[in-house]
Amino acid sequence: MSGLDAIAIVVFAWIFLTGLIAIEAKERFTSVLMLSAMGLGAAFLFAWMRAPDVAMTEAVIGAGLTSAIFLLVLLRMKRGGEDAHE
Amino acid sequence: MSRLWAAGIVVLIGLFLFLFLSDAQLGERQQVPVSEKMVQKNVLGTNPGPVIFGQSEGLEEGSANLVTSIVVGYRALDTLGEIMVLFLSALGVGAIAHLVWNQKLQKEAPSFILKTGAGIVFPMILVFGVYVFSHGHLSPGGGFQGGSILAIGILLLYIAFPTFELNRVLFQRLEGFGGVTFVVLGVIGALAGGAFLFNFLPNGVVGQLFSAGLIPILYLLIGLKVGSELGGILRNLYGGE
Amino acid sequence: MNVYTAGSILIFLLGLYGLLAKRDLFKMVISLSVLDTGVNLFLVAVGYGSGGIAPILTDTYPLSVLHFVDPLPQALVLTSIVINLGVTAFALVLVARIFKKHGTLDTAKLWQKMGGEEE
Repeated sequence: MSGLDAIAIVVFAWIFLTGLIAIEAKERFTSVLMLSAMGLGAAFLFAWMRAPDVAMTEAVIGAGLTSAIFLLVLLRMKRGGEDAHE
Repeated sequence: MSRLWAAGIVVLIGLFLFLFLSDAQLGERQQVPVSEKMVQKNVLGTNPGPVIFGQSEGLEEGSANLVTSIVVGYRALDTLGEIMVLFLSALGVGAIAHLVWNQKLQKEAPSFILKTGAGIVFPMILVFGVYVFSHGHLSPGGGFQGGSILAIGILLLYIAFPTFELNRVLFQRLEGFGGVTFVVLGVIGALAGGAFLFNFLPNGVVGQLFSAGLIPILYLLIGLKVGSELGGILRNLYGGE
Repeated sequence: MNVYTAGSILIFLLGLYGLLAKRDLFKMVISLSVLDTGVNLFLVAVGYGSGGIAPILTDTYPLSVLHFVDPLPQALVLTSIVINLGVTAFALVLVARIFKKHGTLDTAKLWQKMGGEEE
């Protein structure tokens, strides 16, 4: 297990941690932010695994557009009705 | 389903995956067996000579980016299917969104930095997006990346200017034009070469901007279509009219 | 089983756990997104060999000494990322419609409201 693999393990731990917080958080806003951070880690790993096209696509779509769509729908759902907490 | 059951099922599936995949050829590898015919651009056996960057002319597949030559060259029919799936999802968002809300999202007044900065940054984003999808056959990039960058530019305009409205007719026509021209070029390729989406334009020198036949044109159409589609999704989510 | 394939399988399992254990529809959509990321990472990790370079022809290396990383899984993952965006957007609009009509996003209460039997 060389030093380069250690970097990959650290980034995998980052992705796992942010994914865990995204699933278990109480506030929905926190989940969306952690999803965006997870997309950033995944873009780094794609570039690390020598796949520049995929890294560019994941950075733009995963960390940019997906969070924007989540937040826009979340803003619409705040008006009225009860909120379900897990 | 309670958490304990869910954790048990996940642990079982995890054990099954780890045991099943441990004797496949996924261990520590130095070199991956990539098909030699594809690297030498010789899949159909019609290659005139060796592949040298900047010198070889008239190859079977003239793009320098191997992923592009798969996505728009050898497997262009799958890309047509993917465009269809994206179109269906944009159609679904557009059909249901106006059942849920029918007034525009109330935005706060943006700050001075945002307004001025958006006016400066938006043309740069446009130029960068067009650069990315027009150089898809030379460097990492292509239609999907460039189209998404254009959609992010549209999002910036929506955030910074409260009275901004996307012109619905223009973007629908743009999206339709991209899709229809893609299929028409495919049919012309079928008439000219015998296969749907056959590359009937001349392949220039590998590595120059005007090379690789039909591939930059197809990626340009895909970039326009994906960008206007994602902009249309954003317009439906912001509401209005 | 190198570190890349093992890590991506772990992320897939995390998303699967979130999909099974949560009762809130919004958290289910987020777990679906985590699962998609895990699958994409696994596909690219299958085609990775530690001695390879990115699959783009340049003029710095002659073609005879090149060992590329496998470009075919990367083409598949490109398609997969864009389609996942479309599916997530559509799923979110459906969730918003359910919230507007029934007022709640808890699947147990929705099951009762839509007329299902008691479990």
